[in-house]
Amino acid sequence: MDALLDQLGLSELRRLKPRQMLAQILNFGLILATAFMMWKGLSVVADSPSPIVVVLSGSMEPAFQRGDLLFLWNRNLELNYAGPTPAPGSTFGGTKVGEIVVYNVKGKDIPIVHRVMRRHKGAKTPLNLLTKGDNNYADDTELYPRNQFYLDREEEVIGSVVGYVPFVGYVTILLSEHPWAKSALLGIMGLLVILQRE
Amino acid sequence: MHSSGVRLQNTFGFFTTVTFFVAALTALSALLYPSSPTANINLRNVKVRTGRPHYTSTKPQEYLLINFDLDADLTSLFNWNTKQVFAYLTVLYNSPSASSSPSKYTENEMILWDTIIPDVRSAKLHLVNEQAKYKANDITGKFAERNATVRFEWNVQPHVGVLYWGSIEADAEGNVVRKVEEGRRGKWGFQIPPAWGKKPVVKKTAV
Repeated sequence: MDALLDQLGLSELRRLKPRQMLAQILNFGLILATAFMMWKGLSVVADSPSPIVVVLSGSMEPAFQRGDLLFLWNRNLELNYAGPTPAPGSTFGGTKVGEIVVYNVKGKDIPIVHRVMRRHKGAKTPLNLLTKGDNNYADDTELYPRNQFYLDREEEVIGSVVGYVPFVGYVTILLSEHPWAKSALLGIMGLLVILQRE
Repeated sequence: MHSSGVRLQNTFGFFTTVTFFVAALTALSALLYPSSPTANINLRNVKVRTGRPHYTSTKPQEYLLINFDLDADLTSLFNWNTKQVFAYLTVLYNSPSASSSPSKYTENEMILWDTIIPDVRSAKLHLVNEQAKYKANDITGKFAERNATVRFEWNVQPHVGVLYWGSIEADAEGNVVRKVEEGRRGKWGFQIPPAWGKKPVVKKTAV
């Protein structure tokens, strides 16, 4: 065992007592759990299954480029409401024309970030939206399933873009396009946490 | 510990901290920057034509065709954190249909024309008799001669931080509700005419 660790260049591990080793593993677990809870907490606040998305295509150039990070808000569903009149200021405004929404088309799991071009709503109908990429010539009718011409705000849209941070998400594009990078990064991170003794 | 690994780690950590704070300050400070955009629209020609969206389509659709003049000054929206401004013209028709067949969609809004303004040099718009960029058809296929108004809106997209929107609209009489140059008032409201070749169901009331 010792010889193997030496060969791997991990002789440092030998000097760790079992108790210290366990504490480091616990520490690593804590970091992962914190990140997960922050993500889920943000999910609850924004009411979106995915409150932060990374731009994957160039259809909103030059505003959004590949790898940019977008923050979503999904409490603007504007559902039809049959109960008593809500107190003023207690409800969130609905999705408007000109807003940028992220949607998932049924059967495809790639989120699409495009701008709302048209909006049609009635007292008994869902909120219908038509979207288009700023950098595209045609609207998204072609991207929707066959014989569907509008998006349902509640069913298909996962949020409206409210915040923007450039480039930070490019790491995830690298990781998803080169699968080995993901395991390498996780391994290095785990080792660093375990080896750090301070 | 003074190994090169630790030094590298510290340098990188310091770099990310500084970047984060500079970005946060940029995003927050830009919100305090005052802006006073102006816009005036004059509708010239509103027509409705019947057509088919695709040569295989069997159901004909009504298309709204609009010509308009636009004078806008969005210079004040550009500050150190403005990446681009997306400016657009929308048409709203929320009123119940004027004809005998009411539409179940009572709130309708669509973008008829838009442009991306990349820098402050192109932030002054002056369009004369411009044709709407998009062929607009209603979700039901018919506009049903409803009353409509146009609205000029913009979306400021930052280098980092929050996106924000603004609009200038007019009331039913064509009086501009918000910030607009004095003495120049165009036509903002109209009644959607019947499709070409069809008799109007209601008498035209708007002048």
